[in-house]
Amino acid sequence: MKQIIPKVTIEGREVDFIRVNYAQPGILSAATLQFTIPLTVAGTESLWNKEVTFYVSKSDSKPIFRGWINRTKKDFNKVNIFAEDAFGYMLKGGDTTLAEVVLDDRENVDGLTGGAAIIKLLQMSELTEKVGTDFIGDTSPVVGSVQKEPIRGTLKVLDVIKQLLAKPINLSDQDLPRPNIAKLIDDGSKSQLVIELESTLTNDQVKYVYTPQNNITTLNIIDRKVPTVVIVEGAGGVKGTFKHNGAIAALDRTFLKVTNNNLDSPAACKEFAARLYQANVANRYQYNLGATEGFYLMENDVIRVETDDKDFSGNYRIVGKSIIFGNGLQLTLTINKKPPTLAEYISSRDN
Amino acid sequence: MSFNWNGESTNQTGTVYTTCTGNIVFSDDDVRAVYIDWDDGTDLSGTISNKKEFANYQWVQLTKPTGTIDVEHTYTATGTYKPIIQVINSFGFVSDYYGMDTSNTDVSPYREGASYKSFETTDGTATGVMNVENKRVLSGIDNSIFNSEGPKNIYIMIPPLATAATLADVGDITLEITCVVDHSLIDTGSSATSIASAGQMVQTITKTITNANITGGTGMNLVGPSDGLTGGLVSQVLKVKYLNPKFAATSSQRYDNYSQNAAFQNLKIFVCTTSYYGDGSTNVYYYPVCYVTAGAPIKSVEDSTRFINMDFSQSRAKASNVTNSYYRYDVGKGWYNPSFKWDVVSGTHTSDKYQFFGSNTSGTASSKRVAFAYNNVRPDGLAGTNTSGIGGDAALPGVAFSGDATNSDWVLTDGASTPSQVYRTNQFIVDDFGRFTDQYHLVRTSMQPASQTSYPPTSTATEYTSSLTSNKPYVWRITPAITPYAPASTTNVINKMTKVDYNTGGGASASHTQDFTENAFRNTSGTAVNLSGMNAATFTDLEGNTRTANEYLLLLFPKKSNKIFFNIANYAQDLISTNLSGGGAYNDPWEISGVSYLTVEGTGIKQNAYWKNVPFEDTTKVSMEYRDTGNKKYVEQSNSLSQSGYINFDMPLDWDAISLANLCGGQFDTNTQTSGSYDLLLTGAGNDVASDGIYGKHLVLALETPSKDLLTSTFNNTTEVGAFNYLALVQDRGVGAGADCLNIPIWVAGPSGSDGINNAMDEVYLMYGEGITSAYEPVNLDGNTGTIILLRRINIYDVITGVSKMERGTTNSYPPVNAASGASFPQTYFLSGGQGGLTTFGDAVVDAWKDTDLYALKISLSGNVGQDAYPEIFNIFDATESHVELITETDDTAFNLNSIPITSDVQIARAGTYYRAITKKGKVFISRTGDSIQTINFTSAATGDTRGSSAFADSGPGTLYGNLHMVRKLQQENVRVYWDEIQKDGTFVRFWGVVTTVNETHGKSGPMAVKKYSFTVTVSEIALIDSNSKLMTDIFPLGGIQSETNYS
Repeated sequence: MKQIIPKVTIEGREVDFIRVNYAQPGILSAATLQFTIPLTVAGTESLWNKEVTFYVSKSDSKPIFRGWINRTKKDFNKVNIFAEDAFGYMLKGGDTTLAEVVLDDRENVDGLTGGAAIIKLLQMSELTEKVGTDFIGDTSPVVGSVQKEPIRGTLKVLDVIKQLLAKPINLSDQDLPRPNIAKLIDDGSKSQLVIELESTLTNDQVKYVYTPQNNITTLNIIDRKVPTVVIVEGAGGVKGTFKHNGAIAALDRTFLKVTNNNLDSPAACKEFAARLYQANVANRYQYNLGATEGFYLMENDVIRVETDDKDFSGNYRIVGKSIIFGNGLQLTLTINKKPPTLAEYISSRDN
Repeated sequence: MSFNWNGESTNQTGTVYTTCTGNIVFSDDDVRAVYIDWDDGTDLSGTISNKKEFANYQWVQLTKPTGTIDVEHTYTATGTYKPIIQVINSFGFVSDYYGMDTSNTDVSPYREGASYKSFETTDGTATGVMNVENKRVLSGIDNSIFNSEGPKNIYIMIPPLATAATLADVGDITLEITCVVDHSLIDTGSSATSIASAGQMVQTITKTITNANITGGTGMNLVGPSDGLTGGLVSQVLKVKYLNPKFAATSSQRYDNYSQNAAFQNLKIFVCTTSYYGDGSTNVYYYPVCYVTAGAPIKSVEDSTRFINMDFSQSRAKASNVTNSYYRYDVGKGWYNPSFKWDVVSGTHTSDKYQFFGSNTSGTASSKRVAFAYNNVRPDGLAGTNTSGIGGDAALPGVAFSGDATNSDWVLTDGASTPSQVYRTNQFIVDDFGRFTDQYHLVRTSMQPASQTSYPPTSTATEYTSSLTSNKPYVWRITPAITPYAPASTTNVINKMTKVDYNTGGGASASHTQDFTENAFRNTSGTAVNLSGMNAATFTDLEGNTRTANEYLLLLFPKKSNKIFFNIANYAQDLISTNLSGGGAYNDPWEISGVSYLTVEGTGIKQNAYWKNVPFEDTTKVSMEYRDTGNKKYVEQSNSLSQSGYINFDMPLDWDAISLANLCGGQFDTNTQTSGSYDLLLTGAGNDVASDGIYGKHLVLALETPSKDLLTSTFNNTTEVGAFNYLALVQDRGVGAGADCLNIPIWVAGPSGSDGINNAMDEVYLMYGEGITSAYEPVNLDGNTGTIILLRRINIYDVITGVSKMERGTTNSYPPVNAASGASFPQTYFLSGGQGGLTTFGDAVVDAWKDTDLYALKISLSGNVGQDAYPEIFNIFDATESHVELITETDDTAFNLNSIPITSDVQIARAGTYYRAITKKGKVFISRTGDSIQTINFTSAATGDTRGSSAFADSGPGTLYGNLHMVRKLQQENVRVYWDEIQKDGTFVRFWGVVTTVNETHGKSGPMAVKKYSFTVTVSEIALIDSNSKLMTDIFPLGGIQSETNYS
């Protein structure tokens, strides 16, 4: 008989828990683990900044979450604990204190590529104990941190990393490369930050197959409006507008307006607008997949959904996931079908 | 202008992600700003570009004019980099771009610099990452032998887990095997099929084995032409179906006869095939392809719950621009399966140490599908006995999957029978419900990046392949000192009781201390961590009295780990045969009796090291419940080291890494004695004292004032010194005689084991036991003044336990370790020999641990082990690293509820989920949207008289209370169950599910009160069985539909 007996440890020591909620929103957001333990287990201990690991099954080799406690709440019977992974530390240094770095002309990440710059940032913010960079890799293409302009100011570490990762896709006005993403991989003893290209749905290896018969419990679909009129503003006030008449007839007239200062001619703006339309057509649906399997899938993994409805079948990219262990068990995967040529920022626009 | 690196004036090299410094010397000292393009920016196609929009550049602005600057940079990719420089001077003039190349069209105006040097970066060690989604996988169909070796014959075999009388109730067995059959174009039905051209077709074969051939079954039963496999060999097994997995009642029998239904509990029907490649010889061994049971009668190769996908794709090179070339992997079956059998190689620069996967399991694909089918069984028999049998007795076969038609029966026999199957039975490890125990497999990977052009690496400088050895443990089996040598005189004290590696020649009475580090990392039948003869010696104390001692494994890790995997061939000693044969006391199990880690407190002269035991989970242990009617209790009989598995414990926070030299006062394996931070130099006058009758004689060293002050300032009380914790090494005999005294060791201990210093801390007691003629004569220090000793803390005896600090002298006198070495005290303590003359084991210890801090873990082993059948550990790995995943193979065999009496009604419901609505004008919509979970409810009662001494004996298996006991266990242990419900037309519906609740009501009418209970089975699947007890359908969800997909 299959069984799933999760395990939570604090500082390497297994603790009895009552309920666990794990959420991995993805896209450079902190994964969180909220769990409740009886007061008798840790009522007198100092829990702040203690390392927490979460294993889906007690026999697992590696945890799916490694983080640090940054909030606790006690009552007479239990302690509610909230922990965040290393991304959380890049925003907050374990508490409400912001993990910030001061980048000025004297100390900065100038001249470094994205991968090297992130290593230096983690050293500057003294986060190397929390997150490793043993196999971090680099952006593709390799872009210097000062491209367009050097990064300066008092900034949150994670914001700087986001800027660094965004630079490669902002470089070209003609051919948007795949966005670079960063994610954490656990090596068994430490979280390792790695940079990789967003996966392609057509070429990358499918990690898991989902079918209603075997492992899908629910499928929630957000049918997003497709912008049929896209207006792009470039540098110096130049503009380009793309309309798709057929789409307007079929899907109604919906507007999207974006700015791209890399573009300096109306023609370039219009071509860029066309690309955005194409990207959004393919990105019409976003899904929440309730499943019985897939606890170990990671952000950017490609899965295949096979249903009787061809509209829903196909390859998807894992964006995030959540797991709730309590009286029951609930696994939800957030997946999308975003094509590889779509700029990262578009996904945040709910048009 | 010049551009150099790291203060050197030549082209430099370095590893990626290593910070380097560019040293720029300008032509003039008026530079205010510098543009540096580090030459590692790429364009959209990934090509290095110095164009501004692609370049990786920075501006360095200076607060005052200068003629030289140093700027740091970190390269993340391999390559040879030639930075481009441009400067602005204090007058605002901008220079041309300067670089190392003669021309550069990316920037303009460009000039070649006069003295520019390049920086070449090379790759670092890659990282292997293994991911598996379904880490708990059901036992499936393992076609790997066919995949790698081609088409073969297949055979049916039943392991000896049930007696002939029990199997007689099973009736005939009919299997339906769907397989790919290769039809030879050369020589039909022979091995030529595998080496010459063939045609293929999917064929369904029906194989029937009569009951007579089951109860009298031996060896392997060929699936051949008589079964419909005409003119071909099997190249893949697609599906196996046990067609009649149900008791077939005759007209005089009831279908629900409990005991006859119970006959199926331990019935396993294996499909096997052969391979020649088990040990590199021409021996033919048999290997399991899959097994079916009554509780899991259908297995399909494409059932996604029955295989895993090993995903290596997250592995990556250190350098960002280096691609993955080859993945090497371990499919988690050790060498027990001949296909995809991983191997390790050393690399030419470390010929005696295995570090890398070989090329047996290698490929460019970043994933691999693997199925398991009870593979962790040694194909050539326990201890490799093959057809010779255990102890050379062919009638004691030790090969689990055997083709021996003479001695390898299918029926369970006890040890008194000839031939006896006990050694085979105990390799098929089942639990109380007839399921194979969870089988653990550690799958691993390493990745060879494109930068690794030679494989294995030829020097440490070119090791780019991801590491398998980053936490490779040193594995040492330690046998405590066995018995002392009793010298006839004071001239022939022999170091025996003080050494763990004395007489390691083999045999029951010899020490088995051995270095198994490389064995534990390799993958052959001959490279086990051999535990033969474990704890079999008769251990005695220094006076020859029998003492209790146990062997242990000492593991030393470079890094901490709290999950250690043991790859062990299945063998549960006598646990399975004893219990299946009716039970009985099981008195001498193998056991991991303790796991402890080494913690170190304090430093230097006051350093303490000791083992701390941790509670641990041991999945190498298997167990069965035994009703001990004599003592009226249920006993969980168990045996450790019986199967592959892991030990797991909470990660200790105070686990410290320490070197061997550190544990021995700063020095090890040297005749030279050097004072350091671990010791004190004390000066005093010696006075010899008569024997205390226990340890022997000692000297009192009355300290001079400075030494007393030193001692007083170091220790707070005498307890801190204790007895036999510190060793005194005589550095200067002082004024007076002192032959055979220089450099000799003397333990610091008072008479009768009292503390080694007095309360005033002005005397040190030097316990030497007795002298050894012409070598060790501490008595000669009697009356000397100015004698200097080196007081040194020795922790090693707290780590290497089971070895004496002293040897046996003539009579109740115990000279210290290596006293006979006199002035050449070798400082090897627990190891035999001295500088340059250690044993093989000693050399291994020194090589590994002398000066390297390692994390020590002690695994204590109890239970006596014979020479013929013993725990066979083949590998020991850290199971927490990024390149490994632990897979649990589960036997989904369900327990037959028809084998226990159910006394009352059974309720079953069927329901779907529907969308139902009605319009305003009455049009009704009903649409089925799925199925809902259903349950079956059972009720029964337990009876019995709680009074009297026979209450326990009267409530055993088969009684009404015994049934309740079983139902409780089914619920508690989450056992999959099935229930055959007869229909009015004589057919059956078989329900599979799990007992989710058990409700009990204890009546109030005294000791004879009836205990009513009910339990609920949540139904997961059903199948239909015809009135002849044959499956009519596949297995499908209750209320749902059968899968439309099939092979035909």
